[in-house]
Amino acid sequence: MKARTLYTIFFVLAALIMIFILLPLVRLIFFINPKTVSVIAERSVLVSIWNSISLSFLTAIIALVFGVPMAFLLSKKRFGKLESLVETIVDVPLSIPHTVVGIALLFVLGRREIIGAFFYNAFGFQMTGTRLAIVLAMLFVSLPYTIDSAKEGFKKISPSFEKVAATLGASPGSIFRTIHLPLAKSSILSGFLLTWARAISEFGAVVILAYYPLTAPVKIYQAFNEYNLSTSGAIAAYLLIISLGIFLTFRFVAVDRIWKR
Amino acid sequence: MEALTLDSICTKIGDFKIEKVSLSVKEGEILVILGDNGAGKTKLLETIAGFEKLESGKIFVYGKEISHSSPFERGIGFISETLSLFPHMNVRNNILYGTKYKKIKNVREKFMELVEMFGLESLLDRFPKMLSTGEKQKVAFARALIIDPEIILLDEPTSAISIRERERIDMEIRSILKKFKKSSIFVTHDENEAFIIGDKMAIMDNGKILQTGSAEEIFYQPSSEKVAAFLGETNTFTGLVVKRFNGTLVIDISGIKIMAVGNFEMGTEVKIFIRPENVLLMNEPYETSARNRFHGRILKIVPRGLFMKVSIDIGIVVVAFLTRSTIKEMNLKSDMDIYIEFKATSVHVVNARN
Repeated sequence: MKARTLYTIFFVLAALIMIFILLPLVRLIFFINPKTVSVIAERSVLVSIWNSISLSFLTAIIALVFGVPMAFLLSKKRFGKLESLVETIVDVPLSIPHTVVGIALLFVLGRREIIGAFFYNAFGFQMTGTRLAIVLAMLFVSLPYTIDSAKEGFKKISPSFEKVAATLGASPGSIFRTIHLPLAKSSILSGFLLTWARAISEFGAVVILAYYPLTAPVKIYQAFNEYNLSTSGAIAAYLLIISLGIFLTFRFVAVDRIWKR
Repeated sequence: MEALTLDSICTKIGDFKIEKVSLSVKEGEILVILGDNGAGKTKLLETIAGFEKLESGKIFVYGKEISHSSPFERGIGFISETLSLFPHMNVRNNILYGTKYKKIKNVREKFMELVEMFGLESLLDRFPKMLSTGEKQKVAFARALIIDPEIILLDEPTSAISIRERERIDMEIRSILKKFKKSSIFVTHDENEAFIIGDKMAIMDNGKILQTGSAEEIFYQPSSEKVAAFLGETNTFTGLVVKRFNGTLVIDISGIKIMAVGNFEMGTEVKIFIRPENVLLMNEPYETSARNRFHGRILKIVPRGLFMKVSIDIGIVVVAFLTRSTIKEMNLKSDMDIYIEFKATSVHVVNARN
């Protein structure tokens, strides 16, 4: 096959992918019009969108705090013989249906279950149906993105930098702060954004652990069941615009201007 | 005073072993470790710097044992093959990096002095990717020197530089190390570089040090064929000591009798080395003081670097290096009859079982 024919076929396939992604989204945006503004003005809708954005942001922060150190250990092969086992475990959430995750979490977070009971006895509140439960559900399914991305970032750093830094008198802690973190920052940030994006979109695990307080995906599902398609379509369209807006802003303003210098 | 002493150190890195390496570097001295890729030179430096754990043996810096100290406590500077400038810091911050962790007197003055010396004034705000290799090298040296390490280890820092430029850079490196009176170990696989930079030389192969000594000692008195092979092409033969008198040996090599100086028993199997530049060619058999003179035939003349390599068959094949002008003056050609000679003292003899 000639190069031209090959590339023509590949470009056609690539074009189909672009259409496949963009067509439904563009169609959805048509739901944003004067007639649907009242939908977005409704308090429960606004709250659900706020819940989604704020809780997923919190999730991404928690993933950062816990995930980056783990990614560092993995990148340095510090788990020794258990390395590939640990790596597999970290990625397990990616391969489980999210409703299964929800059920599994329910069996530890429920009021009579091991962690749920502890919280109920210690702090007197039930975990399920709370923002905490939503964050845990989001965290479970989105943590791998932070770890994997940060791990790749750390792996790309030549070991000679930390060696030279050590001979210049920097302790391992200082080296992590002044060499590893700054050099892996774009990978860490992209892991953060992926985690945030994944957390915003989480439905399956969240709906099982906490139907209320409503998050946007649950609200959309509720509207789809109880009202009509155009109401759920409108909420979906606004969520789409808001999440896209946030990510594009972050991606181009924060990443390119501040981080990628 | 010994600045650095390695006392029979052993390290295991994966399948590779560094075995019983003992070396010492005097204050202000530059030791060159010469060896092929995979000889363990870098591994040895990393062990000295503390990146690899010692299995046994001891390391001392000015008499203080540092065998098990952390790398950042050893006071050993390291300049790596890739120079390893931190890509996210400009030249100024690269040079100043170590001063954040080590108390240095008069940091500002020292910084200015180094910047001036290396001519880096106009580059201070640049990032490493905007620097040439030569500039990067200067920054790497300034960064290592500003915290005044007791020893500097250099791991093939010129390997990215073209051979044409390398000699000049090597001279610069030597003069910098001498100016700052830095005791150092310089690792390379390039024997020319080893001669230019080193005060002392060590030959390393397969995790072991084969020989240590001055450049001349190693060049003219290699302890084995392996060592001789590191220092460029040489004439190597194996023969038997068939006569000895007054410190002179006669060595039989496939019927050819060569005179040498040395102390070996009759019948000892020996290896002899004759540097090609010590073999002289003559059109006529003049009387000279050289005790080895043979008649032979030129097999071939081929260029070898700056010299021409002439192979002569005298019953065994001997190689000589001559300048192009000598070849022209003597009108040397292949298949020509010729006389060769070399002094008995130019023949280096070692026991073949070494």
